[in-house]
Amino acid sequence: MKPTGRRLAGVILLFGGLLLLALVTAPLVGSTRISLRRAFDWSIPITENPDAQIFFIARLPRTLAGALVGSTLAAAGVVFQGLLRNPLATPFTLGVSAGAALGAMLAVTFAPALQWLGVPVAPLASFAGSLVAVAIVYFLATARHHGLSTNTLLLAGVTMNAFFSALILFVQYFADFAETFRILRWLMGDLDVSSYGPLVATLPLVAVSFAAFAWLARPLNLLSLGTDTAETRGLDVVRAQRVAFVSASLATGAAVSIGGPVGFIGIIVPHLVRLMVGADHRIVLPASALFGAAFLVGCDVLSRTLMAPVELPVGIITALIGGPFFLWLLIRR
Amino acid sequence: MLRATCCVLRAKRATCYGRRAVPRATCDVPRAACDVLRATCFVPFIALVVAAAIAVPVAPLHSQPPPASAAPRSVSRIVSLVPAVTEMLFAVGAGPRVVGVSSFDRFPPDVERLPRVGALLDPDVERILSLRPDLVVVYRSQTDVLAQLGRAGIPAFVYSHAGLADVTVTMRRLGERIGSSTEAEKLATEIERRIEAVRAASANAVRPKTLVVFGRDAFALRGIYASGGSSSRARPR
Repeated sequence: MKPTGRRLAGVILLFGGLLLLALVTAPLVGSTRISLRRAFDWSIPITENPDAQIFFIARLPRTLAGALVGSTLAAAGVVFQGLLRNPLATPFTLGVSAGAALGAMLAVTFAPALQWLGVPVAPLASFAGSLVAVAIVYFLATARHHGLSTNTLLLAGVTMNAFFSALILFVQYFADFAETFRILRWLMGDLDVSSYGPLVATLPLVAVSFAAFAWLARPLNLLSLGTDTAETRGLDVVRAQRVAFVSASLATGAAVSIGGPVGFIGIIVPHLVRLMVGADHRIVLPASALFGAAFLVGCDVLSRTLMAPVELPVGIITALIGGPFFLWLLIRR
Repeated sequence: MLRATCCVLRAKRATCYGRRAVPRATCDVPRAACDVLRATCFVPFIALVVAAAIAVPVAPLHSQPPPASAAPRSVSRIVSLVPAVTEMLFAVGAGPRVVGVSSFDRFPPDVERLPRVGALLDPDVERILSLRPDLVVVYRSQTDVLAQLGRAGIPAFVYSHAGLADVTVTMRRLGERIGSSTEAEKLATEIERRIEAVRAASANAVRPKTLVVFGRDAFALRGIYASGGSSSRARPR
């Protein structure tokens, strides 16, 4: 498949260049001005060098978090849409985000200042919450069927979302205003990570998931023809579905634990990319990962600068851009 | 890792319903046991999470020098994210040393001219750092800001609110931290004296049966709090 290889190279070059541009510009922009020369002057210790502090402590971790979360959510969105054969699927359709939100909220409500080995407990709790949600949905979808029923998966996921949301509202009803507002802020998405630690911690998970995504590109192409056709073409459908579900869920859980449930990345980026490069998953998957990263980094720059010193939650920006686009997509169909 | 674990389980699971076209009626393993076995498939993931969580503190990027904490250096540039503490700083005469305040600071009027650096939920770390503070007042729950300040080597004064009695405790602690113990002690003693005076004056007074009124905007209701429940302007609504 030489044409595919050549197209893939072109797409990676294009979207990779876009991401590189975003990654280089984002740390240069912020609510204050810094001198780059001073920031990279290694002879001054960082405790004496505010420019370096702003660059390496305030801006760089955020930019990297945006890239990681954006690429993960966008790629997971592609996988979920392919797995469920539903253009409306997002990484959050199957209850991952609600489970994560419940975990984070329990941590915020009952142990706001607790740290575990120096890491704030909220990201860990949110990841644990997303795992619980994924486990329940997976169990439900495999309980009564041969293999994995995507219909049950979808219905169970949507129901789990509603159920966890109800639990969240229940706990919130008894929490005080500050806690309620804090969890609301978390739900809007926030890339302001305090250190590189959470990024380094989630990197192995994301790497494993992306390896699975790479393997999944062909199976997803076959699955788009329908499970029966895919099976006659020699695909182990159940195995592919299982790999897709587990890897995409893990990746989503990791991304949400870093940045909260940043909306619309997982649904608009795949559709945008498909409009540009076609429906072949071998190209859509890497292109979405790269474009998702660039898109979220760009949105984060807007969120930091549009109303500075007030910082808009990045989830608002993505949804403000994503909402109208999505409506247009709906009408267009 | 998942596959390896599940393969071990497969022999038992194959006799369960569903997996390998064995009718449920012939399943000799209780359904609950099957479910537990299935759930164990997720153990590797949980182990992975735990491993990742343990790896975080070990990660080289994270091992930063500890903040120069309680060293009683002279404090000359203070950023306060806590309006209550901002007010205390001005009250003990440290106002000129305050270089940045939270978005919610309104009092004393002097704060109007100071840069705003966000608040409890949206602190603008970049702006805080750019003000080159040598002390930042933060809430206890602002663990992210604390971590970032720690890496920049900027000391923090952690505020936690615990009611009326805590006001003077915080004030004395703050005074000590910024080298204004005398002023803080004077002010704290004065506040305690006045609270005590109110207590003494109302000790023998008739305690009215108190109606708790929930309202947001009725300025007329304020009289209740101040004068002990006798305001004629406060009417039930």
